[in-house]
Amino acid sequence: MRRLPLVYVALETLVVAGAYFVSGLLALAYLTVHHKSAAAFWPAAGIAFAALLLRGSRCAGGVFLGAFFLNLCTEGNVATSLGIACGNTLEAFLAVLLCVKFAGGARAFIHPRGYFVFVLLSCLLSTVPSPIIGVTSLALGGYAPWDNFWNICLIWWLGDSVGMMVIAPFLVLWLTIRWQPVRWSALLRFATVTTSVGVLSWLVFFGKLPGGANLPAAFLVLPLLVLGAYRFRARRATALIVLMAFIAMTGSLNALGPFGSMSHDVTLTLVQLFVACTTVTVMELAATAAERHRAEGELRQIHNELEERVQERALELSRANEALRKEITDRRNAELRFRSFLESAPDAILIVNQQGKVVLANVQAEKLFGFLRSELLGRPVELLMPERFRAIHEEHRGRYFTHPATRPMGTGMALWGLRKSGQEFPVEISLSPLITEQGTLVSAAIRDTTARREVEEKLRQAERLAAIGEMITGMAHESRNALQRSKACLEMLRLEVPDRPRALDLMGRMKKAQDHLQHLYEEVRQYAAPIVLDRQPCRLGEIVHEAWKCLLESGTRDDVHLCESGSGANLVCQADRVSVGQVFRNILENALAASPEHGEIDVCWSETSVDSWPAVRVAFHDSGPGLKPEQRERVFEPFFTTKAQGTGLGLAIAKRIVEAHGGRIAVGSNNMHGAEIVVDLPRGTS
Amino acid sequence: MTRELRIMVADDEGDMREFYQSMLPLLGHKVVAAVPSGEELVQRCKTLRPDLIITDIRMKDMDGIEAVARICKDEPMPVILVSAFQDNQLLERAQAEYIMGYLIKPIEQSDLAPAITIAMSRFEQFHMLRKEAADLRQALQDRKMIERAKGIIMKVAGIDEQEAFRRLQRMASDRNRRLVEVAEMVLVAEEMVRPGAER
Repeated sequence: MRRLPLVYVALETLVVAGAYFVSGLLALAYLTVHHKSAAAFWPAAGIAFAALLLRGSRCAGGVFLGAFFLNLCTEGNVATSLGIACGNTLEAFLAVLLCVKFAGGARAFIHPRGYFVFVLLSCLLSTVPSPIIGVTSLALGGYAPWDNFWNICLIWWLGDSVGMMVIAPFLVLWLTIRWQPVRWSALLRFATVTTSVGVLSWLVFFGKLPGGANLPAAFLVLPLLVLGAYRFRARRATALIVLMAFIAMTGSLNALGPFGSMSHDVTLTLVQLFVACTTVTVMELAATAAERHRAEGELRQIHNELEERVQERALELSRANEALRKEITDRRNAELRFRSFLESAPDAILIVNQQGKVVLANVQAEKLFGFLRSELLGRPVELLMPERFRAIHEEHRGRYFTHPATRPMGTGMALWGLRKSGQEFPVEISLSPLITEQGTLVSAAIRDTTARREVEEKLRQAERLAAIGEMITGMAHESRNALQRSKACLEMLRLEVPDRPRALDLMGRMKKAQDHLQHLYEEVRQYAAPIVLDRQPCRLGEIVHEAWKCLLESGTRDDVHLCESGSGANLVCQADRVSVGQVFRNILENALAASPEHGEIDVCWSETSVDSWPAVRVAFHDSGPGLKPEQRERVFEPFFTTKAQGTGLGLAIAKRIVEAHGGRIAVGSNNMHGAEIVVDLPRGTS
Repeated sequence: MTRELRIMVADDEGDMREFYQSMLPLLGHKVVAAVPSGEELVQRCKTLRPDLIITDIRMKDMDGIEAVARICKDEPMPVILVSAFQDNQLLERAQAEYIMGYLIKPIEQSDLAPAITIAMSRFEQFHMLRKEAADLRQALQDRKMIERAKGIIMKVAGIDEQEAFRRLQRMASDRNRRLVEVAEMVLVAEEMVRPGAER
C-alpha cells in the first residue's frame, strides 16, 4: 500500500477533527437534554461514520482528537474526555465495520435491504457502547449523577443514532457524487421541490398553519419528502431530509410548531423520533425507488439487448428464408429435370419407398405394365409381379433397404413381370438407392427381355446344335476306323470258311448290317457337319437329271418313270451343285421308295419368289400312298422315317441345305394322290 | 491281264495290315512289306523299291502323305491313300502328282481291285507322258544346237543352208557320231577362234 504523505494525513486528521469539533460544539450548545454532554441530535456521529467509511481507519485519529478536545472544552477533565473520545471512536469503528460487513458499505444507501441493515446495525446497535462508556466516564469523574445514568445514556444513544441516520447518508452520498453535466430541467425540479419542502417545513414547524400546533400537522411534510425521495432518489432525498430536520429542530427549539408546546427535553426527544421515523421511511423509499430505477434501467437495457437480438434474429431469419426460397426453387428445378430425365429414360422406371409402395412411375412403366400411373401410385410394387414371387420379394425388399447398393436385382435368377392383362413377361431389373428426406427410396429400372430372351434361346440352341454336330462329326469319323476293322476281319473270316454255306450266309447278313451302319453314320455326319456352300451358276433341271440318273444306276428299281412339266428348269441359279444334288437325290429316293410298281414321279417347275427375291420352284409329286397329317408335320424332323430301311435324315438334310441357300422346303398342298415336296430356291445374283 | 505287283502297305492297325496281306494275294499281287509307321515305310521303300504303295494317312509318328512325299522326291512311285478322314486340308495335301487314288475307309476287297488297276494305268500314262516330255525337250535342245552350228558353217564357208546341213551329216557319218555331237564340236571350235574370246 502506498504511504500517503504525512502532511496529507495530518491535514485530513485536522479537517475531520475540526468538523467533529464544530458540529459537536453546535449540538452541545443547543440540543442538550438531561446533561450538558448529551445532545438529542449528534451530527458528529454521522461525520465520523462518513470519514471512516470514505477515508478509512486513519481518520479515526481525527475523530478521536475532535471528540477529546470537544469534551475537554465543554464538560469534564482529561480522563473523562479520553473515555468519551474512546467511546465515540469505537462507535464510528463499529458502525463502519458492520455497515461494510453486512450492508454493503456506501452502497447501503441505495439498496432497501442495505439501508435497513445500516439502520439496524450501524445506527441502532453500534451506538450502544459509546453512551455507556461516555456516561460512565462522566459519572466516574463526578460530572454526572449516577441516578440519572440511564436517562442520559438513552438521550446520548438517541442523539448518536439519529445523527448517524440523517447525516451519514447525506455526507457519504454527496461526497461521493460524480459530477455530470447539469441538466437544467432536473435542477429546476429539484430546486422547486427543495423550496417547497423548506417552505412547508417552515409553515409546519414554525406554527404558521392554523391549528398547526397539533402533532399530526408534522406529517404534512411527509408527502413532499416521499415525492422527493421517489422523484430524486437517495442523494437528493438526504438533502431534503437534512433541510427538514434542521427546520424542524430550529422551530421546535423556538417552542413553535407541533412539538413546541412541550418541555425542552420532551420536544427535542419527540423531534428526534419524528426525524428518525421520517428519515427511515423516506430513505427506505428512496432506496427502493433507486433500486426500481436501476431494475428498470437494467430491464430497459435487457429489453434493448433483446430488441437488438430480435432484430439480428429477424435479419438472420429473413436471410435464411431467402436461402430456403432459393433452395426450394432449385429443388423444384432439379425435380423438373429429374422428372424429364425419368420420362426420357428408355427403360421403365419405378421409384418405391420402404413400405414397398410405388411413389413414382414413368410413362414407359405405364406402357410396359399396362397400368395408368394413377393406378400404380401408392400401390404395392408386388402388384407388378406374378403371385408366386410376391412373398419372397417382400422379404428381399426388406433386406435391400438394410444394404442398399446399386446392383442388378436377383442376380442369376429369372425375373418375371406381370402386366395388367395378367400376361407374364421376362424382365431385367437394376436397382439403385435414392437418399431423400422421406428416407431411402429405391429406383428400379425395368427392361422387358422377351425379345432378347428369344434371340438368346435361338442362339443357345444353335450353339448346342453346333456342339452336337461337331461331336457327331468326330464320332462318325472315328467310327469309320472301327467299322473298317470290323469289315476287314469279316472278309478275312470269309476266306477261312469257303466251304460252310451257313456261315457264309450269316456273314452276308452281318455285312448288310455293317453297310447299314455305315450308311447311317454317313447320313448323320452329313446332317451334323457344317454346311459350306460353293455357289456356282447352275441349272437346277440338269442337277435333277443327274440325281435321277445316279439313283437309277444304284440299281434298286427301274420301273418308275420321271415326268417333267412347267418352265424354269433351265433358269440359272447361284447354288452349290453337289449339295443341291444331294437334296434332289434324297427327295427322289423317298419318292421312288413310295412309288407303286410302274409308278410315276412328276417334277413340276415354276417361277416364284422367296422374301421378294426371284426364285425357282420345283415340286416333286409321287404316286404313292401319300402322307398322313401327322406325318406331314414331322417329315422334316431328323430320324423320322416311313421307310423300313431309312435313316430318317434324308429330308432333314435336304431342309438344312435348302435353308442354307436361303430357300424353303415344304410338304405341298397337292396331297390327294401321293406325297408332294416343294422346294423353292432363290436364283441369287446372276 | 494284270501283272503281279510288288506292293508295300502301311497302316498303324494290325487288322488292316493283315487284311491287306490276305486280300492282295487273292488279287494276284505280292505284299513285299506291311509296316505300321511312316518312318518304316520310308526306310523299307529305299531297299525294296515296290511297284505300288498303299498307305494310311494318320499314323503315329509321321503321316502317310508326308512319308510318300519323301519317298517320291527322287523317284515317283504310284501311291493309293486310304483314310477315314476326308477334310479339305487333307485333300489339298493329297494333290501331289504321284498320288493315284484316295479311298475312304471302310473299304472292302472289291474296292481295292479297281483302285489298284486305275492307279497303275494312270501311273503308267503319267510315266509315259513324263518320258515323252523329256524326249521332246531333248529334241528341241538338239535342234537348237544343230541350227546354230549350221549358221556358223554357212558364215565361215560361205555356203547355203542345205549345203551346210549336208556337210554336218557327212561329218557325222564319217566319224560315226550323232549329228548333235558334231554340231556341238562346231560350236566349241567356233567359240575358241571367235575374236575377243580370250579374257
